[in-house]
Amino acid sequence: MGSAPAASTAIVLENRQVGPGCYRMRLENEYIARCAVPGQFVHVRIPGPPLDPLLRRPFSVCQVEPSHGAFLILYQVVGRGTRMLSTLRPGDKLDVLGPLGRGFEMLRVGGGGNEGSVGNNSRESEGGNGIGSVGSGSGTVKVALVAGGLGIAPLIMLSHAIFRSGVGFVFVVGARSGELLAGLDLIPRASCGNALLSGCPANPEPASPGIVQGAHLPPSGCDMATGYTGPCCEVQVVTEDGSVGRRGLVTDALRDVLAGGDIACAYACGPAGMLREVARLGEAFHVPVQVSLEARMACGLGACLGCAVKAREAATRSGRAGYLRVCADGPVFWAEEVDLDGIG
Amino acid sequence: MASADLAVTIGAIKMKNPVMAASGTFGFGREFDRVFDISALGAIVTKGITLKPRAGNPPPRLWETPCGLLNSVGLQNPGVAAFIRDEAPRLAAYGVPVIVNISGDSLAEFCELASCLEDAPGVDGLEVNVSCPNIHAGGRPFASDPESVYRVTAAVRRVTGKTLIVKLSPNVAGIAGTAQAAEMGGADAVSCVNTYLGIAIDSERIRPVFSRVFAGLSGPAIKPLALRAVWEAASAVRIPVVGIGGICSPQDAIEFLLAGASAVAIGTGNFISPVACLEVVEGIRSYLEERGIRAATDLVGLAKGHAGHAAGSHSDEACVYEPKERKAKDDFATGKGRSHGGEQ
Ligand SMILES: Cc1cc2nc3c(=O)[nH]c(=O)nc-3n(C[C@H](O)[C@H](O)[C@H](O)COP(=O)(O)OP(=O)(O)OC[C@H]3O[C@@H](n4cnc5c(N)ncnc54)[C@H](O)[C@@H]3O)c2cc1C
Ligand SMILES: Cc1cc2nc3c(=O)[nH]c(=O)nc-3n(C[C@H](O)[C@H](O)[C@H](O)COP(=O)(O)O)c2cc1C
Ligand code: FES
Repeated sequence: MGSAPAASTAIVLENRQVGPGCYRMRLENEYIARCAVPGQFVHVRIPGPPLDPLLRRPFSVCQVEPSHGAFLILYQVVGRGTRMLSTLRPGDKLDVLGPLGRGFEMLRVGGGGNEGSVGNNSRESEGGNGIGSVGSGSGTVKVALVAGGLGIAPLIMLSHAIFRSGVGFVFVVGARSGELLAGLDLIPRASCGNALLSGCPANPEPASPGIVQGAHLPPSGCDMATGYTGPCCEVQVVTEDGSVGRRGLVTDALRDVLAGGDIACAYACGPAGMLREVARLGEAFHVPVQVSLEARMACGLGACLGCAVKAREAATRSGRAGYLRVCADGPVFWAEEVDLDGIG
Repeated sequence: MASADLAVTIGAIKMKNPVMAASGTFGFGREFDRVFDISALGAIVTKGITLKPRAGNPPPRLWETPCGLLNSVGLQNPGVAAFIRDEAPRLAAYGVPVIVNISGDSLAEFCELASCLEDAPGVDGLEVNVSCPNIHAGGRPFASDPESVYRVTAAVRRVTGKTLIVKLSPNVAGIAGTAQAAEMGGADAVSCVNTYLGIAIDSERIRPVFSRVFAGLSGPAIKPLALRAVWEAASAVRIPVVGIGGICSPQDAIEFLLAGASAVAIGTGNFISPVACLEVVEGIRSYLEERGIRAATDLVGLAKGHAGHAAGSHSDEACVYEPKERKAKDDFATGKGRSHGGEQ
């Protein structure tokens, strides 16, 4: 089940606007920084007049810095709660409940170890439909990450974990327009001496912000300058208006990536329509797909049954006929587990 | 001074403090037990149980309102057999009184549920949710008139030796009448209130938010209304009243005790702070100790002593309800159509 959730105080270290209505908040909270696994979320109480707004707001953990006891969320102002969040300053306190939910299930490389597993939160550990081990060494195994808008948030943390496990990835990032691309600088980059590829696989902390918008990082196992032979981490940027990167939909780019073969699994987070299309492509190319879903939440713990998503199979593993709980059975699901036509 | 005595008794249930977790907001304890030691509660009221498993309503199931929450969960639950098999033994192990909330759509179903639970280990009491629609009354909730509340209470009383609590709906002309009907039917206590029926409209999509149109309103928004209901019910009956509605803080809980409640239950408050119940227990303790009040029971109804004629309470001598024991089957409205009922 992963680490038990705890309600505790987080101190705002930084709350920076990174685009129109997009903010990145860095929070100090040792427990979440240490325990969160990729795909999990925190349930944040909005500070304001007492009990107004009433409910907590869920946000994906976007990155953790265990050594600093800090974590990041990336959020878009869409309503009252997020607007209030955007006014917070360093030193302000937030009540956060987490880490919550079931995260992404990771590939294991080379048959051995559990390096690539998302730890005790993994469904594999419960004998679920783990995708098991694939490939034999770094550079050959690849997964695809597909982000629509702020859906990039949980995938950033996932990309770091994948990278550390020695698996390569193609990260397809889409937004309506270039200015709405947030968090690109947080994606790990291989240390191959290229100026664009600062980060380092040995350093799980986010790389210092750099300009990578529209950049195509080198493909698989590049051994440029320093002879780097680590896993591939390729970033493809797609905007609907063509202002940065390729013009079109993120799923257009994904189709090409999947058509190229070699993709063992695809992970997606973004708007409902995008997730449906990713699931469809996954089926067409026989690539298993995991999606991170959103739903209105009250408890965030699995108790109130308010965050229901329709299950694809009538009888699910969790034994909850008909519906699954996004907060506790998810937010990450295998695409075939849920009825994606019913979401959004 | 000596530490305050928080213990209260509801029927045959001895609670170490007057604070319960309200039905439907606390699941079967499992999720909250990961956050805090739930053995500190006065009692746990389970999610509503029905004879057969129920899948619940399609999403969305939640809608935040100013200081309130509308829900339309639709009584999603695994059914009584699975409850007894999978949940009751674990619940019993917490060492806290367990009250099972039951919902049926006919007298027969309520009786069958009560019989099934009669020998279940670890079940200390039943809370009869009369807000659910009665299929023999055109789908009108049992709660809607004293006569059907009386019948359902009397029927369940005949088959159960456990503590019997009737959970009253506030969506009635006068709660004093339904409270008295429950008392005459043999209830050991009444709980007030269940959610207030409301509607949310989605102005973007030009349609109601919930598939069943009506949903149940809870949270701080209903607190003044619930206090009135408790005041009126407590004035009309001799059995204990469990006060419910918008309790988030110790202050709120104390107000309910002063208005005549012998115990309280916390629902939506658990979503705001998962440890709300604990905070309320501790807050009541300090309130008593600071004022040198010996016991929580000393608070019950204290505010009433200061109410004049204008207080609107039904005076103790006025009997609002007398059971008619009519034998005609059509003593209930026979209108057709399915209920949108405030079942959660
Ligand atoms: C698991 C999960 C992870 C999320 N991660 C992120 C993230 O990393 N970055 C980000 O910007 N947003 C994220 N969201 C969406 C975010 O929770 C909503 O944008 C936010 O709750 C809106 O609050 P508000 O008060 O500004 O909007 P309002 O519209 O005023 O909110 C009203 C109510 O609706 C709920 N609500 C509104 N939109 C959503 C939504 N899309 N999903 C769930 N509830 C919603 C609110 O929580 C609140 O209860 C995530 C949602 C979920 C379920
Ligand atoms: C999500 C949700 C589910 C609920 N489910 C039930 C239920 O199954 N049976 C029941 O009798 N009451 C149910 N209730 C009503 C609560 O037990 C309580 O009476 C009501 O919410 C008012 O209290 P509150 O303002 O503290 O939440 C539910 C309430 C909520 C918010
Ligand atoms: S939000 Fe309560 S069960 Fe998911």
